[in-house]
Amino acid sequence: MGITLEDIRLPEMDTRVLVGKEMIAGDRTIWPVMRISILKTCEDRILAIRITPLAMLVIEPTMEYAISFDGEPMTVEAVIELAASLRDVLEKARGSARIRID
Amino acid sequence: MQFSYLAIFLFFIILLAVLLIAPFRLSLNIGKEGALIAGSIKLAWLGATLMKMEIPPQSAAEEIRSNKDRRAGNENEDGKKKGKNERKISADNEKTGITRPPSIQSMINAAPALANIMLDLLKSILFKKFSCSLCFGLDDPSQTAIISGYLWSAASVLGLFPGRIFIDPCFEGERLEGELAVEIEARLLWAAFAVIQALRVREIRLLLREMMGWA
Repeated sequence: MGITLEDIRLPEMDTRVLVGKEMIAGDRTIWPVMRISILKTCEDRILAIRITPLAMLVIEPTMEYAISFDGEPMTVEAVIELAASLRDVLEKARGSARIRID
Repeated sequence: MQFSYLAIFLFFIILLAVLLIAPFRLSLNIGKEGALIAGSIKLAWLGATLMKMEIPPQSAAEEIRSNKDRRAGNENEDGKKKGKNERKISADNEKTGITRPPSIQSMINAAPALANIMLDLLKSILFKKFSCSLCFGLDDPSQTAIISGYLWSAASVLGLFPGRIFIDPCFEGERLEGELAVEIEARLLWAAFAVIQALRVREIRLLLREMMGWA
């Protein structure tokens, strides 16, 4: 009864890109986007957690833009591609900024 | 005649020995799933159940509301019973024997001895089973990650029950669910030993005298 290669489970890395809690500065709302990497043992016990800030979406009453923390220019579409849940946030913000004409 | 006295004496000695050596077993099971909290507490000795309490499934909001109602009711009653209570306090003090709080100086003097007593008391407690699983999430995923890191570090540093503590961070929003199952065994022998040891320390005796109002 030897241990086969299938029996051996190696530590695994669970990586997710998530949107943090919004920060409000005056009329400006900042949505941070971060990568959370969790290193787990084969028994699902957490060995390490790493939080890496990736970018942020800034929504102002008249415009919205994205800032990447790696120094490269980033479009709003690119940040939404990174974190899909930001699409709803953006649509909601655009909806509230829209002037309704009946 | 002498034989019967000896038999009674031996009976009491055996009874005392059984009482001191036979372990008391306390089982606690508590869980929260969704908004419902349920659990049970059981105290057993020599296989016989001394106390059993079931916590029926109820929502946390209900529990908070009932606690608030109870507190509000108590406050109303407190106003009425204030006069009665003042008289009762002195009666309670007579019952417990504690007449006044000890001075800080005596507490400081007795602190090392108290720490030793606590260690002796801890020796009498044996964790037969300890399992805790917790799934939690805060409104900010970064905070969830940080707190879960702290909790895993604390669990690893404690290192007492490896494999039985499980913490699962939930990044999808605010959430708190989990289960706690503890089974503790305690023998009165060590507790009695700790009390006797404590009474042999002068600082503890002084502290007790002060609390009883004999000093």
